[in-house]
Amino acid sequence: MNGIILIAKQEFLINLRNRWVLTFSAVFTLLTMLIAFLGMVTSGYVGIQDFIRTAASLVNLSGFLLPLFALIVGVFSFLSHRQYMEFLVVQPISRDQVLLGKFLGLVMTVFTASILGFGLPGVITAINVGTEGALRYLEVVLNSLLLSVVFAGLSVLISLIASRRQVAFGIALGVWLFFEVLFGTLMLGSTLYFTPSALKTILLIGLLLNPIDITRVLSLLAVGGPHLFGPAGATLIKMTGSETIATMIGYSSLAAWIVLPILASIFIFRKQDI
Amino acid sequence: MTGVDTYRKLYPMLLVVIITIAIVLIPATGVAAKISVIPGQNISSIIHSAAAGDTVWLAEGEYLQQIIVDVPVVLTGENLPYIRGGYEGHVVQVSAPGAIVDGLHISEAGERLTKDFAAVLVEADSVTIRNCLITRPLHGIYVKGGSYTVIENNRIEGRLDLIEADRGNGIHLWYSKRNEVNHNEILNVRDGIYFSFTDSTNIRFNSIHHVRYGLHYMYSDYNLFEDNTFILNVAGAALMYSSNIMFRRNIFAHCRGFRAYGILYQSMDSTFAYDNLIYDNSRGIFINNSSSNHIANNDVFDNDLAIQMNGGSERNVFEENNFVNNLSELLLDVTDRETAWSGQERGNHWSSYTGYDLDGDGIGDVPFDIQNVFQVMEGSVPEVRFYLLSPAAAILEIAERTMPILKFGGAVDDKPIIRPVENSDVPWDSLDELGEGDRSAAILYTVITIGLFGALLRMGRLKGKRKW
Repeated sequence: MNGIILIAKQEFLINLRNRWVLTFSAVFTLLTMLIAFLGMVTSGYVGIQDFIRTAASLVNLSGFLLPLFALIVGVFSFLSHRQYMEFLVVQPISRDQVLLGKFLGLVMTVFTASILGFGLPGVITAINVGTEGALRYLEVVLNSLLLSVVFAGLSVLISLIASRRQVAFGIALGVWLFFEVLFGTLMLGSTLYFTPSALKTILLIGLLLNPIDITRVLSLLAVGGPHLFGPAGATLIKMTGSETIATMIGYSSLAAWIVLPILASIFIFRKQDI
Repeated sequence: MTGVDTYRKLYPMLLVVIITIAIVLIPATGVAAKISVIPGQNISSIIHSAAAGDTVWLAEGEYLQQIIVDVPVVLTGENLPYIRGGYEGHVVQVSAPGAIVDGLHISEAGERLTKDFAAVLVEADSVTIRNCLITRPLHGIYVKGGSYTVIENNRIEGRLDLIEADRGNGIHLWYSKRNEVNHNEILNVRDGIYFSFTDSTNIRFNSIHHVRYGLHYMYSDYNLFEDNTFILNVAGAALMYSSNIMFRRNIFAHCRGFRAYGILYQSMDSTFAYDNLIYDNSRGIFINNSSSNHIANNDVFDNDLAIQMNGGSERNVFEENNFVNNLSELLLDVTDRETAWSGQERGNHWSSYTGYDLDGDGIGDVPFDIQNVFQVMEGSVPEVRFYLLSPAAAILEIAERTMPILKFGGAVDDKPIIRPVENSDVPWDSLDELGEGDRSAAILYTVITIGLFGALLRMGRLKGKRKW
């Protein structure tokens, strides 16, 4: 355990020196501030839909940027310094510890960048919608952070599979584009080819297959409740039993999205020839 | 001489006439008796033996009995005398035309809904119920056949220990007309004010909250609703099977749930909705099988869905309304060609309108397709709504607006208004909002942000100069 934390700290320190991290934090903070201002202040009305929209815009923005950021920093940290990796694995700690440590360091890096980016709009939100709204906003932030952990894990897996930096970046961008845009468009496109009753299952199961969609729906559930989705929300409640169970299913599939890639990475890394 | 004689002869007769008139008129002109009652006495028998117009004055205290008002008296008392029906039948039963019940605390009506028990049952014309507190009712005030009823300034609190289906209505009007229902507060009942076969009634300045339907409306025509507040109900107003209704300056807010509506129109014809505020409902306006309704100058803000319109609805007109910040504007289950989404000169203001106004007349130069492609898809497959506000949906909408290959719905506002319409009569001021926001939460956020950020940086033991 000590080994993991030691490596995580070291990794975090190295990542912070990466120019990407600072640039990203600045851009992300700027954009979230813009959304909070445009959504809640300049519209002239401060109401519930404003808050839902602001939250949704933040979810979408963090859904765009955080996965990309996690993927890029992840690939950087695993594939930039081959000698450093060799140096790490010959230390008297297991490979599992090395991998988990590096992963943890990566997660810390992404968190640092996003906490600043989420914190300042949080102040604006809290001023405008009060304590209750601020708590719901926290849930949105939590979901986005979980999403970044998912993609940090995926970046580890991608790095280990690709083992060359250029290839890894290519795969990472492909993965990002797929989950970001293609998946949703495919899902919406599927409505042309299936019967409504089949679509009910396809679209609901489909949600679980895309971590970005899971976080968006979880966040909208948190800020607007299931009736935000109208009859679809009713279907969701009917199929799962209650809002709590639906939320739990969402979080457990997110957890699966975090754990499975990391487990796969551990198995690959154990057998990999460095 | 003879004149004086005649006068003397007539004088006693004149006296008799004057005395007779006096005897007949005095009770009617209000020189009535005041009969005091103390707890323990039987109020019904006192009223029964009282003369019309007498005041029956109850001393402060508790009266465990049901009361029948069969003589037109004024039933009132000191500091809300507490009438307990003991959960048997109606508590106060008014069968005398012109009777007044003023300032009582009436409680504990019978529990059997099939018998329609009420805290106050009105079965005569021109009855006034005012300043009463009604608790633990089944129905609060049940006007059964009586007309010209005045119901003013009462507070009706339903029973939270009963499930909604077992509760009665706050005010239940049946086969009645020309009533005035003003300044009442109604909560925790099934339906706030229930109308059936009740015409020409005015409903003003009432506040109805935490009920199923604020107004529930069946087969009742020519009624007027003004300045009422319906918040936190399943539906603000459920208007059904009626015509010629006017409602103005009402608030329909915070109706949230799968089957929640601000205003629901079911088979309503020729109604007029002006200057209402429809705010933060799951569905703002729901229209089913209703025709020739005029909906103008309303503010429809912050609803998940602004309007849902189903089949069988024709010739409805939407004019100079503000549709602002609704997540979706319109859901149609059929192609809509019958609705006028704009008036003769001006349409509505839609915050989702992205067109422009080059000639500067305040009207957008591009007609507004009220439904976008995503909303049309939602109409056929509701589950698509899980992709609401997603990048995929946004891409689809932008693609469709740039290359409009598809034509759908037919719901078009030809004259969309660029700036929000100044609907100055909309009662925004009466809406108690969630509060100004919270400075302490903001401070907390700042502290948490800086704290976490600092902690993470410290954990990384960032030393030395950053290398650029």
